[in-house]
Amino acid sequence: MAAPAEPITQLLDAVNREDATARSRLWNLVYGELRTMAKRQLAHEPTGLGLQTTSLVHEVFLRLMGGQQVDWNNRRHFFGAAANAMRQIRIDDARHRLRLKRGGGQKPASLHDEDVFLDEDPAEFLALNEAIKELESAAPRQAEVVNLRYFAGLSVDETAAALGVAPRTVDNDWKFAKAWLHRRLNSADSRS
Amino acid sequence: MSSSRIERIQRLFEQALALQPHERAAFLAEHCATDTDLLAEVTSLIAHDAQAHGGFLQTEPPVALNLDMTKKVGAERDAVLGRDRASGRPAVHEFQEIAGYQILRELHRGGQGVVYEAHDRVTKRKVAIKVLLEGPYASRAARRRFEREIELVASLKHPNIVAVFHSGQMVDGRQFCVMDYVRGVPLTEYIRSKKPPLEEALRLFATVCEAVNYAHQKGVIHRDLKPSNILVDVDGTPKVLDFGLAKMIGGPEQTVVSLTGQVVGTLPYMSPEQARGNPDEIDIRTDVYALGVIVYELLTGHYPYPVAGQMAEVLQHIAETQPTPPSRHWTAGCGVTQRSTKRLRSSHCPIDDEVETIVLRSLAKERDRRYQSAGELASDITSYLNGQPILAKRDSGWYWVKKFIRRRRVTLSITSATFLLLAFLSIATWASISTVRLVAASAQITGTAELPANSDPETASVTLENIKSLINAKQSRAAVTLATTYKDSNPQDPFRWVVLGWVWLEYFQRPSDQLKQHQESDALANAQIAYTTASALDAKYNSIAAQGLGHVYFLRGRQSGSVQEIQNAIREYSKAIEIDPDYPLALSNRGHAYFERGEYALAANDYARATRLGPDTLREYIPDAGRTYKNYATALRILGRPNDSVAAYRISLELDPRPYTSILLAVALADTGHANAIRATLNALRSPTSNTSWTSKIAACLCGDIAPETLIGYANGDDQLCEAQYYAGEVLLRAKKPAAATDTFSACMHTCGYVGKETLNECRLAKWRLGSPEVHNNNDAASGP
Repeated sequence: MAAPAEPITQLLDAVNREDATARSRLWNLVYGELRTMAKRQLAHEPTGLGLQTTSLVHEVFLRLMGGQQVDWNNRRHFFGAAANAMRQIRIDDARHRLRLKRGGGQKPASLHDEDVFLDEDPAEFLALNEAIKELESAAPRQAEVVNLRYFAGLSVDETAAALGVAPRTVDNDWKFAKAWLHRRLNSADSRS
Repeated sequence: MSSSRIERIQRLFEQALALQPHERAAFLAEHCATDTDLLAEVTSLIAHDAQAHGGFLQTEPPVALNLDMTKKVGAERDAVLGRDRASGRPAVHEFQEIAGYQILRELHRGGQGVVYEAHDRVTKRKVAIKVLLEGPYASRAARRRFEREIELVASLKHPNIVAVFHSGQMVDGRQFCVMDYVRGVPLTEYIRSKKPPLEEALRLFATVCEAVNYAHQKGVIHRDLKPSNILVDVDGTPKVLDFGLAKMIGGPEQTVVSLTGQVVGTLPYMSPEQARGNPDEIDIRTDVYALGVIVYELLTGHYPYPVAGQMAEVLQHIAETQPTPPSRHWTAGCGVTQRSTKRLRSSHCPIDDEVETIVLRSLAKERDRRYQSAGELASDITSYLNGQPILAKRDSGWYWVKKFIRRRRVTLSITSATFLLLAFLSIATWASISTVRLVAASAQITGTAELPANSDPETASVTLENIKSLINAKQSRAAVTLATTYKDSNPQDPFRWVVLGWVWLEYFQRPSDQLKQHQESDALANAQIAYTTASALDAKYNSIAAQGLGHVYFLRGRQSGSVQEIQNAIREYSKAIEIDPDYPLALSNRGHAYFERGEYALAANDYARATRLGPDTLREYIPDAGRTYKNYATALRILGRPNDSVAAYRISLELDPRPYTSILLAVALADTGHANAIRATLNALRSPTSNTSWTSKIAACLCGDIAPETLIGYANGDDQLCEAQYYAGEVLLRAKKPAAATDTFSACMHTCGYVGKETLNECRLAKWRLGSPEVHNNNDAASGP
């Protein structure tokens, strides 16, 4: 297979055409970019402030897209992939921290938290992640809004633009999803 | 749950929320009618909506912009998640009540915070509590990190390190840590008042070094060592304070910038890497440097260079000014007194050559020239005190001449260069001048064993050796000056022009920091002129000149990505090869040019011809023969000759043992069907002693210690991402996941193309993998998350 390095727009178009591997190629690309940028951000962040996930995703978007116009369908694919990648990074991070906590061994000789950079209590985060998974099957559209808002850090307007719906719809879905997730997390079996 | 059901729930939820709270029950009762599940569902969601405001599902808040807001968000999130901050997290206390301590008095107030003397109600002992200034800890992430740091620091148990017991957070958000209370005076004050003899001061200092070394072994870098952080208690025992604190609150590099004037006390102990603002370069050798400044001050009562004045100037002194030799700075009034063993007058400077060597070695501007650990420094001092030989060596006269050239780089005139040339000649007594050396040196420059048509082989030999040394020491600008002087002294000698051309090429390829882009292209133009002149002066130099011109085109093509330039390079190299069919440098370089164009068969052919001489001889003609073999190996692998490829990688490693080559060898070995080859080859690389380097991460991934996705995640920067994606693909391929491997290889190519790194060996291999049959056999389970 001759695989020329394809520009991101072509890759997004391939996703649109439902090209079998395009989705994972896109994911791979965005995931790699995000990790790299996260590292860079952490390396240059002087006093140990948290990772700014929102600006990360935006930075990756600008970096990959340059100044190109991107139609809403492609935005949706891109930010969908970015949100998923960010989510994966945070899951990995949470699991890693949980392992550390359970005595998987403290990293011996380093003061650099190379892969421990996010804010939440890892167990809390993983519970939230499970709840979002449930929301995905119960209410996929609302879950997508959560994905874009929470993991990709898009604003209501940006989410609306990416999904091709009115901001008001995003607002409603977001509000509903938050109440739903909040209930899920605070119900008795949420930590089972 | 069906989607229409969810939609219905959401609609009722929205409608009810639009109403006044007291109207909602009736509204829902009416619309849900007998569907009690629906009623319960919507009612509970509305209840949770009321709680799910504020920080719930907030992504990382903009902490950098508004610290107050962050705190509120964090508090709100805790509230909505039904967690009580006080019960969930320990150590939130009213000030007077810090974790069972009674505050007695304020001891010190400074840039970092306030230190109190306190009484531990349980153990009844006296402690010191340092309350840090509020600020960067507002975010939960930062707070956690702070706690982890403190945990690490608290694990330090050493008689010469002030113990930290625990830490916590006060109601107002400030962090505190509780530590041993030491009644003592700062090290410099102690020395100044006691005026101990040299040996005693050094013994005390060695103890400090050993304590610092202990912390380093535990993974804690101090980053802000200074006399006020080293207290000497009533028994004369030194105790180091505040380990790791600088990291948590921002090291001196931040402190000085933000609090100019207030904390200038930190500035003199800052290392060149901190002064240059390279936080990435801070490591244990940063502490070694600070120790060097401290011992300098202890012995002389002065700083090694001026540290008063404008901040920028001071930083520049730290980064560049060579320390005044301590013996020259010493005065009887300020420094240590005479050596106790030798009865000398008190006005006699006790700092002898060896002590001076130790101090200056600690203060080297380049980290690699310093003691590599505080332990090495301590042991040299101990050796000195015991009358044993020390390990540190003075920098040679040669090194200082190079330093001199570098500092004068801009203003160096031809006259002074001539003077320097004389200086070289007198220094270069070590260079036993012989025709053999001359041949060897000129062979490296011209790539042939042809002797220069030079009337004075002695000068030629020494000059070539000196030029080579300068280039190896990355002083390529000085090398250009020297080569120009050499050429000017006899511009009719084509050999001198060839040397000059070569130096310009080296200069282009190893630019110094200050070099601007336009100067780089000048370098190529100058090289072109030099080679053209040489060949015009004497046709005997045609092949050498063509080889050099080929290289000029090649570098130009690489820089601009121009296919035409690479074509021109191949043309020139071919001219050289036509005249001299066994010209190893030209053959190897034409191989590189073909390799660059992805014409691996032609490249391999040239490499085969170039390497016919064998590695040992080839090295005489091509300084980076390791690269020739490495590219040869990669070409062979791509051409489907795994066994030959492995052999070539092995030779490359012998010539130039680079971790990357080991890794390339390991994946090539795996192609040949040696199952355990990867582990065997990479075992040394993945050992814990080098576990921070990028190559050891790749090695760990290839050995299966970390997942391929993790490796990609570790990648920092474009090159590393390309490499990670290629090696991750190799791992996936061997794990029988061809589809995932394909994705990763194409991601690699994508990245390489995006960042312009197609010339990386890894990218070439990824491209090859995408074209090879193994990855297309079948589809594995879906890749991705």
